This record gives sequence, structure tokens and C-alpha cells, in this order.
Amino acid sequence: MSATAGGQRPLKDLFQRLIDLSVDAYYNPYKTFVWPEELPRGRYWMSPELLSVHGTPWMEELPEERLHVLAQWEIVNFLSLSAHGIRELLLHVLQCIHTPGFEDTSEYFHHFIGEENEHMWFFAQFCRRYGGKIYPTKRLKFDRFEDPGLRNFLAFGQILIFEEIGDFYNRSMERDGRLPAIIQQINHVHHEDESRHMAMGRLILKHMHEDLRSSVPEESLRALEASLRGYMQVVIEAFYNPAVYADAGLAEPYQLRRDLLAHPARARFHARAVERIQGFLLDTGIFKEPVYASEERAV
Amino acid sequence: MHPKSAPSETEIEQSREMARVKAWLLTVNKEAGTVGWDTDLIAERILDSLQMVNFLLYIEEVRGREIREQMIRPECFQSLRAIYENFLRP
Repeated sequence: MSATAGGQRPLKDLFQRLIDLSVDAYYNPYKTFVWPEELPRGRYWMSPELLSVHGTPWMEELPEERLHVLAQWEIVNFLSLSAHGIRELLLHVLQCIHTPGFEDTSEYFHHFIGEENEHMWFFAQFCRRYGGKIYPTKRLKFDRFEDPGLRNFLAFGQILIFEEIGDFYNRSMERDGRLPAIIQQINHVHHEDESRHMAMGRLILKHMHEDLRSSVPEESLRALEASLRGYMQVVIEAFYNPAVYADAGLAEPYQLRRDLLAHPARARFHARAVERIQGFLLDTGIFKEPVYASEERAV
Repeated sequence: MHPKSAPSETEIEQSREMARVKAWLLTVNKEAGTVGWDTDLIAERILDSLQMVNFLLYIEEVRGREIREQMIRPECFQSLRAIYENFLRP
């Protein structure tokens, strides 16, 4: 990884700043949350604007009690996805820490690993206490790249995409007074920690890409892009879980998933959910085209 | 208890569920018509990562129940024969 950001502050200084912020912000998650015995039914546990049916006829046609039940299962799904995603990213970071090429980032990785482990803990706590389960992941993982440099880039790209989409949901819910306090708090705490992780992730990915541009053929860069584009779609579409619809008592859950994904309102939502990360990937040249195009705003 | 013997090609070909699965494959990949029962779906990149998720969900829909998490491994989806044996065989 190149040592400076194009004549700007050296990378090591930026990494150290993030480490210092992590140390200053350190908290004990096992004492931070007060877990209520149960959460109130008849209330949204996820912001209605974030529900996978929002903007579609189902939002209007389903009675509000049914939407409350759906929201309860959708938050369990969101936090389940988050827990599974953390496992995957931890596996990769643990393979990289204190290995050649990661000398400058390993100190930070210790904080990252610690914080992500704790995030996984409190997500799993919520899912088990209030949903009675963690939804299983329906993703098959297999390696498409043999070159370690390409695999590392792909892994860190996936980590950043996953974090930034999750952060879109966190930012939306952390101050939503309609939601139970514990849900606001989980989203807030996670957002605070992830702000550092995403800052770090962007630095790492940008510099990895700069290094790759000078060392691998264009064809490999396009293959990496294709993989990351596919991953972004997998993450977005994981929010449409037929098991959630079945648990919420909705008919034909698999068809519902297909119908929702095809609805234009959902395409607009997806563009908003990925706006920040997609903008970054386009600005850095990692993506040549958007995956989810924003609507052009009328002047 | 005796383990089941490997399914014959006739058994797989006569399965209505496998016919649906193969038809689904054709809608997402026009070249899937040449996919044999033992074609390595993963190595041959018949499906990309997003299609693979949708494929898994479609198999669940056809069989009428969720696939257990322990069975979500590449080798269980390696070929159409593996899919039949693992998920659709009565």
C-alpha cells in the first residue's frame, strides 16, 4: 500500500488518528445496553420508511397491525444479516492481521476486530431476546480469484459495501422516536463505531485500488468490479427475505419477494441506500457505472 | 438403515421439481440448456453470485420448505444431480 495519499497527510498518520479515536471512544457493550424483558407489540420496531414494502401497494393495503409484525421480523432480519456479515469480515481481517502488506494497518485491525466482535454480540442478543432466532444466511461463498492481492481487494470492498449499506439503516433509525429505545440505541452505537471503520475502509480500499491499477491488467479490474457489483446487489436483496414474510403471515412469500424487487419504488429506495458507497466507488474509478441509478431530480 | 443409492438419470429426468429447476436456470442463463446433470455449476460459472442466491431461494420454493443452514455449502449445489439428491429427492 502506498505511503501517502497523493502528497497529502501520510497514511500512517490517518490510521493513527483513527486508532486514537477508537481508544478514546472505547466502551463496555456488556454494560452499555439495558435489555427490556420484552418489547412492546403494536409498535414499529423498524422505521416504516425502511420496510421492504414501503412505497408499494402492500404498504397501503396491509393493516397497520400487520405492518408492525412485519417490522418486528424485518429488524431481526437486518440484525441477523449484520451478524453474518461481521462473521465474514472478521474471518478475512484475521487472515490479514500481522501478515506482509498489512504492517501499517494491523494496529488498527485489533480495534476493528474487537469492536466488530462486540457488534456481533449485541446484534445476536437482540435477535435471540426479541425474535427467538437469528435468520440464517442464504449466501453461498466461493472464491473466484486466486491471486491474493485481488482477493484482499475484493474482501475489503465487500466489507465496505456491507458497512455502508448497514449504516444507511443505522442513521435512519438511531433517532427515530417511534421505535423502542433499545433499537434506537443499538443503531446509534453501531453508527458511531462504524463511522471510524468506514473511514478506514475507504482509505484502505482507495489505496489498494491505486496499487492494483499500476500492477494488474484492466481485465482484472473489471472482473473485480463485476464481483463487487454483484455483492452490492446480494446485500440489497437480502433485505427481501421470504422467511420474514412467512413469519409475518404474508401469503406467497417467494412471489412477494419477486414482486417487491420488481417494483419501481424499491429501485428508488435502493439508489438512496447505496448513494454514499456507490458515489465513493464511482469517484475512485472502482465502479465505471452505478449499480442502482438515482433518478434525475427535476430543477 | 441402508443409505439410498445414487439416483438414476431417468429418476432425475422424471422429477417435476427438477424440470422446474432446469426451466428456471434457462430463464437466467440461455446457455443452461447444455447443462448436464453433472455439470459443475460453480466451476463453469453457470450462475453469478446474485443468481446463486435467487437459485437457492427458488429451490426452497419448489420443495416447499427452507433449506437448512448446514446444507448451504457449495458442494450441495455443485451440480443438478447434487441438488436433486440433497433437496428434491422424495
